[in-house]
Amino acid sequence: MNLIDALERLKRPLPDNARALKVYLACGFTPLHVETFLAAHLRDFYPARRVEVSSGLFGDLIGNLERLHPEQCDALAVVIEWADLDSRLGVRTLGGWQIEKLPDIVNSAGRSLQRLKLALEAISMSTATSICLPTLPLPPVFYSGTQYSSAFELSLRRTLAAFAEELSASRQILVVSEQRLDENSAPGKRFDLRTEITQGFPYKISHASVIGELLAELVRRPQPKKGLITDLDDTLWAGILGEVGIEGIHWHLEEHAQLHGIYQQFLASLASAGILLAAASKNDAALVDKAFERDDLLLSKTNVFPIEAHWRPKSESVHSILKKWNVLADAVVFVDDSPMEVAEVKSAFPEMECLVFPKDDYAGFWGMLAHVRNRFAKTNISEEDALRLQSIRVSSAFGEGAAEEHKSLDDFLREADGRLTFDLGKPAGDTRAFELINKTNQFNLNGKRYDEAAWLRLVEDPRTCVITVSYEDKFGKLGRIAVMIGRVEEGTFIVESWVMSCRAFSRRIEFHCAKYLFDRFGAEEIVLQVQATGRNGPLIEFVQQFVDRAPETDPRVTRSVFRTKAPKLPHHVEEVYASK
Amino acid sequence: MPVSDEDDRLMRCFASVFSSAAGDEIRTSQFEAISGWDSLKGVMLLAVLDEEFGIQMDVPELLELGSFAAVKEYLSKQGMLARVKE
Repeated sequence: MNLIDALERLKRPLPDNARALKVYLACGFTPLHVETFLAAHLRDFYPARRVEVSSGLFGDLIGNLERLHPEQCDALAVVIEWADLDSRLGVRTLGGWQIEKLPDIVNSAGRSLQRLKLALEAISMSTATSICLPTLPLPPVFYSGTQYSSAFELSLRRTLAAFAEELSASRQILVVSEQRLDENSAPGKRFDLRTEITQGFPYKISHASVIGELLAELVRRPQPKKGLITDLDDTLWAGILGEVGIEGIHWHLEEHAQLHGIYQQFLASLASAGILLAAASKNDAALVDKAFERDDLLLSKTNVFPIEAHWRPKSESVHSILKKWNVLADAVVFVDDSPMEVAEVKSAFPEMECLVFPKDDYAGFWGMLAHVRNRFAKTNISEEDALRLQSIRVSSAFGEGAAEEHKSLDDFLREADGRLTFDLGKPAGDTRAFELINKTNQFNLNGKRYDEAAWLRLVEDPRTCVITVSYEDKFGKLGRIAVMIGRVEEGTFIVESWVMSCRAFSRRIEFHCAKYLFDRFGAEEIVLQVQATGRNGPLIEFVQQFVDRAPETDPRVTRSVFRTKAPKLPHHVEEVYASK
Repeated sequence: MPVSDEDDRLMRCFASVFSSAAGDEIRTSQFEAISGWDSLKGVMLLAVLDEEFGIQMDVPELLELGSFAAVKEYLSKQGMLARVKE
């Protein structure tokens, strides 16, 4: 994006009553074009929000952060430069670069980083914070020249790296990737001495554009996709299984098939982070089953579920996988070496991201891995990530078990020995609850999403009840699968948000949740702030059972209607105050 | 490139910075009389002109030029506009 485009984007009309997105840009230089690019990229990400970027005093990055009150902004973007750590590392003051001053410059930078750390830790308790570490070259301060790094320079960089590492331990703080910055903005073409001296703005416009874009991406914190469906022949491995047999497929360096080995290793890494993996292959199912038994495969068969191997169209396999996963197409990436198969799946699922596996293109392959990794990027890994695939297998077995044994659902659920835990503790640090609220589409009361700042304000509000629900039964543990948010007003429980993971469907957990609100809060009725989103059909169907029609604005369900219409509720229920 | 395209490029630069000013106002006014003018807008205009035409100058030099027409003339003399629309 160039500057003129950015300025024009900021002039685009906004919807009436557009909600403000307040971002505080903390930097020690004149914010100028970084502010413009940050605001323009945020406008792209949030077309219906009124983006307001504010900043503080020139030359006082740390003071600006120390004076910042959390209620001033929804998100904080921080750009640090060397001159903010010690003004002698900049060019606007003339404090001297003599050898005897170097130890003091390094020590003073260390003290500034300590102050910065304290300020950032305090503000990030309540505000999502994104940080860009110094991106400019150090001035020619060090006697070693620029061919090699002096001990002073290395010490400075070590202190900075330790500062960044310590801050990144906080879930609320994200640090801009230096590698990504280097890819998008050549280090030698970032500094503008002229504008630094004449305007107090140290960046070339192109570099300001990259910083604005990367910070905007971190402010946005997009939700990761949930699953990846991969082809097998010439994708997961080299060779056509049906032609070369189980021993003829390869993925090793000596067989000139290393890209496929790297791809397997990459998929195993995704699986370990809780990403769902499935295979869709035009193949003989028995042969595929045997191929997955090869003990040198880098991706365990247990990480891939389901495996759809047959000769019918790929779109049919994808449809079946989505059904078993119970996720929507837009949360999934499909990878296949055949452009035709990719086109066929894309045509059936336009919302799905479909990628051609670039088996003969090394650079393309490397780019694809980075692209896919970004699609599944997470700020942290929760206990539920480890449980996800197992619980989907369990759900699938659960459904099949009920069907195969021809039992009534009542009997089947009773024998499942389900245990529901309602947690009334404040989940301020619970990434799973936050993730559920922001990722769930199908059983979602109204599609309401929260940014980090709004989420923290909500859970800390003493009038608000936030209830996190966990489930397990004899088939296994599903972990935290639902969140309800609301408040009690004169015998009525007003439900403002309610989401439940699709993995928990078909167990009557939603009925248990509603019953819990009546019982625990002594409510005579519950008001559901329902909003059809086009994707929350399962939730709408659930509500319709109690209001006998398409739910209108804030339908009410009374205790007596609920009692009459709710099915038998078989699970054991307990209550705790344990959220993080 | 047609004459009007060059003129449009320059006008796009000005209009992106002075979003509340009409085209006629930009063409006929001294900078400091354009609605919304301040020194920050001057810096912004310089950056946009640099990006679009590759000219580098400081705010005092820009103010010395004083108007849209003078900037256009300057760019033409520097060979940065193919021709200037009369």
